[in-house]
Amino acid sequence: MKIPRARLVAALFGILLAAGACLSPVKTSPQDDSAQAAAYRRRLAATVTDNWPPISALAARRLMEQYGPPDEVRPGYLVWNDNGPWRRTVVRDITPPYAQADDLGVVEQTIEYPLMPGQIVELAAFDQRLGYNAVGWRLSARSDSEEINFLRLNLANDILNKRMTAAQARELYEKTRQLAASGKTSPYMLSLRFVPW
Amino acid sequence: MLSSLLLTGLLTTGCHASVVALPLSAPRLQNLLQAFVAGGQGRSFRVLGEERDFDHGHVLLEARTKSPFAILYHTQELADETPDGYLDAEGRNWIQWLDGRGIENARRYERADYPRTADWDWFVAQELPRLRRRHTITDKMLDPLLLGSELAGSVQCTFTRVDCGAAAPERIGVVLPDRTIICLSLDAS
Repeated sequence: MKIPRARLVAALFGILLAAGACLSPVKTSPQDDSAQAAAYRRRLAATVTDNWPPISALAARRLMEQYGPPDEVRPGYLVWNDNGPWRRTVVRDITPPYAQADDLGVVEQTIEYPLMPGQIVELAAFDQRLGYNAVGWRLSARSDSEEINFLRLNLANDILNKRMTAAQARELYEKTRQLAASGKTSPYMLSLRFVPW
Repeated sequence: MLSSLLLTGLLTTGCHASVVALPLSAPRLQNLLQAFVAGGQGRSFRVLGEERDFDHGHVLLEARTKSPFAILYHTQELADETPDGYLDAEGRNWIQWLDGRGIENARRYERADYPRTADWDWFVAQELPRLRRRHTITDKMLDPLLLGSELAGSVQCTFTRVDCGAAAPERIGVVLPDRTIICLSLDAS
């Protein structure tokens, strides 16, 4: 009988939680976060992501290298809160639907950005990988890397500030990615070019 | 002589309007670009100052001193999308040494293997295939041992063609082999 990978990861996660005794897979508060608790979450995250598909696992390792141990470790995702310019970063266990998937959207990064209903429609016309949660004004971008999330959100900000239309932003997105592959770096892929709310 | 006078008149110094300061002065960059254009026009690129073909170089910085030691040019940026399909896979990446050693194909300085960290593993798995499909060599792909210098990174300088009569805060001029003068605005990132 073949056991689904997700169930195996969940079972392994349960065993590791039990072994961790009083340590939590979730950071309770920045003040109370001990070195021991952070090291536990790092070990837990490393064990969990070892069983993820390569792109998810690699993205998770890369984020841990950049931002340290996650604030929350779950069998299917890791979370960082208030890391770098982001309110929240989530990396997920996503199985590629086909071998050469170009962008699975394993990394979701969120900023605070209040939007009117009409603006949400404008952004949806630009890119379906942008999401908005009106509770807390959370605007998110999903891709496989932080660089592409920067690009999506910078273009979204340009649309919202009437510097370009959704169609122009789509065109610039494609061109920027082509030029990046040709060696030209865009400032839009290096950082947020605006200060979030 | 006339060209030199015209260029002197066109020249302004530095890249002060840029968010990132350029580690080379505008006159120095003009001279370097002029040398590259003299040998490369029609061979490594066709259209200077336009992003569809050739509009940028990366000034490479040495790790210990943080001083510039070479420029990595990327040419034929979107050349494979032109109607005539013009693309020379071996002629896209060029290193111009600042110590007078001239210009070389960057291919001979490409890494054979990469360090093993999560960031490098990501680069090799996700970025390298995209770059290789377009025959691109970036600064990360250059081998420090072959270069003789550890890299501290690079500053990209973009030179965009502008009307020579129009006012532009940061501008250099380059003479093409057919004596046409091209005016370029500078930007660093």
